[in-house]
Amino acid sequence: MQKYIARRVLLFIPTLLLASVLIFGILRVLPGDVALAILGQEAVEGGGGYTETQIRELREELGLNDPLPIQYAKWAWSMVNGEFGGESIRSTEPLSSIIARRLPVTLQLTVYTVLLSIIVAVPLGVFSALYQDKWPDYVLRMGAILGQSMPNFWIALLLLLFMVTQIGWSPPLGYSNIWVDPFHHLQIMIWPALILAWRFSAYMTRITRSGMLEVLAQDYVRTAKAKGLGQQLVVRRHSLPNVLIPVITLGGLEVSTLLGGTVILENLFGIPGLGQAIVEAAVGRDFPVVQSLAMMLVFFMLGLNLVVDIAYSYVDPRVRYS
Amino acid sequence: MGTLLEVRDLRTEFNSEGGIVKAVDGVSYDLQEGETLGLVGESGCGKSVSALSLLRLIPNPPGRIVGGEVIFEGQDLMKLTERQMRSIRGNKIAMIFQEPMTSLNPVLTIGRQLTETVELHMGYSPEAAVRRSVELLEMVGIPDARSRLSNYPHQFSGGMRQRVMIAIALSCTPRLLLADEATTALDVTIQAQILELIKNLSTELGTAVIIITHNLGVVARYADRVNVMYAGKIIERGTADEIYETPKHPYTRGLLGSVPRLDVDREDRLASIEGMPPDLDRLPPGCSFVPRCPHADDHCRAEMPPLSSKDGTEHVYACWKGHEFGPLELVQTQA
Ligand SMILES: Nc1ncnc2c1ncn2[C@@H]1O[C@H](COP(=O)(O)OP(=O)(O)O)[C@@H](O)[C@H]1O
Ligand code: SF4
Ligand SMILES: [Mg+2]
Repeated sequence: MQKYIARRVLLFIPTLLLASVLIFGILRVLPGDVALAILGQEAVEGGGGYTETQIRELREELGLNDPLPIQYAKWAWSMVNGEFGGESIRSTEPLSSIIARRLPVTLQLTVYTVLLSIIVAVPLGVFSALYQDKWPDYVLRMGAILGQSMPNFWIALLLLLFMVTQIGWSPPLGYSNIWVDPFHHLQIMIWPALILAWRFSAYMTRITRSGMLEVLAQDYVRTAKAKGLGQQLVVRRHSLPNVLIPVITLGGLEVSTLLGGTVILENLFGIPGLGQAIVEAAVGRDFPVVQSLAMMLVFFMLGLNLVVDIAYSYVDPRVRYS
Repeated sequence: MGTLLEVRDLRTEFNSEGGIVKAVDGVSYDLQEGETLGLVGESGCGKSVSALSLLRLIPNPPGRIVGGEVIFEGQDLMKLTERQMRSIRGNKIAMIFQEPMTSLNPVLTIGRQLTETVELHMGYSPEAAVRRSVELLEMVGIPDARSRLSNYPHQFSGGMRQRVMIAIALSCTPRLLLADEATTALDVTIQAQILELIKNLSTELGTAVIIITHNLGVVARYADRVNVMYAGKIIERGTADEIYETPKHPYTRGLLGSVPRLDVDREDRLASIEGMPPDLDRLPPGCSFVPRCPHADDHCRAEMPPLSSKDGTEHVYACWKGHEFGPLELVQTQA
């Protein structure tokens, strides 16, 4: 088991290298001089101008005069040694502190979404399969298709619009940690989590349903029935653990899609997670932040994959014992 | 010894694209306590469906038991509630399936899969159930039984898995064991071991067995009586000796290979018969064997022969001409 995890972690290295080269590369080939962009924006905001010297100094400061491989190596090393690419050029806050502040927020939003989805989707999927082709199944399948076909941001906008215009509610300003003010925390997190879960659980319901149908047709389920077990034991003990295998695998893969939605909803609902930070930084041309936070999202995704793998091996003894 | 099981005109159908498939089409037979009954026939003739029908385990949809009685220990199983039926399954009537690889649950330990039946039917405490499970594994010849309780099915070989299946099936000392091709998927040497095990344990426990198989050697060696099935019906029944030596139905004669063949070990396989089994959703009005029968005539085409014998003996056959056929000329090749 430890070996299995170690092997999975080792496999992350090539992925991380590739992702870092891509992120680094994309930011370099984007049109425009970073220093110019920053100074230009500052000039617009501050109402002044800027000089050639300023540009040269800023370029030097940002390390933009170094050859690209050196720039990349410096950045890559900073990701490993804990500096995570230095600091924000806007706020001069160290990236390690930005990440420490932002990552848990995104993590929590993701966890809420996934938990909500599992709580809703697994029972519904099982129920749908047990009533295959009867009306509860049709209703649930239609709901799932509806859930999957409506984009998150669209639902979010409709919801915000409705709440603001009809009941005069808007997302609370500011953000509280769950251990500081749980009520306020939930107030701000619940809507984006529900919207993300709406779509995610629609997907999970579908894969639970089809997984369940497959399992119910297996020989070992027939064996369980031939033993005289009731429906409850047949489903709970003999079918569900087997259904969880595909559900965890496919659900885990889908979490990366979920992360895309998280970035958007964090911005719509003013939730100070990685997604909001990365968009803010991009708008403010805070390149070190964009670069390092993008990398953090990659870390985050790989971490999730690892959790999925461990969960998977936990439910499937064939993996656990190989 | 009394009658344990009486099946009367059992009918099971499946809905398919082509129409209604009469997988079991009016099957009647009885079974004495402790008897071993063989059920043979080509693949698709309805053997498994007839066994699953006894336990009322036909997947619905697409299947349905549409008629008949299954009188087991004096009560008609078809009239029981689902709940009463569950207290019979795995308890009074147990079943072993063909595929030992897929018939055990891959994510549950062998121990869990063994203990649940005795906990359910015999009200054993978890500790007592574990003790009983160790006993059962030892009984079916699995060494180091206690430590193997925590193993998963994939840690056992095919033969060992089938032993586990037998242990599960016999855990509540059933009155009837249905062994559906229980050894077909195994190596020949393992097959013999498993069959001996079933034979010995069923004798010891006084359990009646219905052995469903392709293998005529199995029938000859282990069954007291044999039902031969064709296209959803029993078309011949007799003692193992009668079926083996004087088969009356051309289908049975075909299975046994009426033409002596030295190149095939007769004991180990059914001879192949010219032609295909009929589609069970469009059977001809007369004898269903007509298209493949060398003796078919207009009478056969017009009217279905009943399962009976000309001289009133227990060796019955569904063929208008069965009485004309004498003992099969045998060229026995002993393995
Ligand atoms: N689940 C099912 N769905 C549809 N048809 C089935 C199903 N199970 C069995 N049948 C039909 O019943 C017939 C008999 O099947 P079966 O009893 O499994 O044959 P065998 O004698 O090989 O055990 C088959 O020809 C098939 O058409
Ligand atoms: S009844 Fe006629 S067709 Fe049917 S098996 Fe006998 S001889 Fe052949
Ligand atoms: Mg079969």
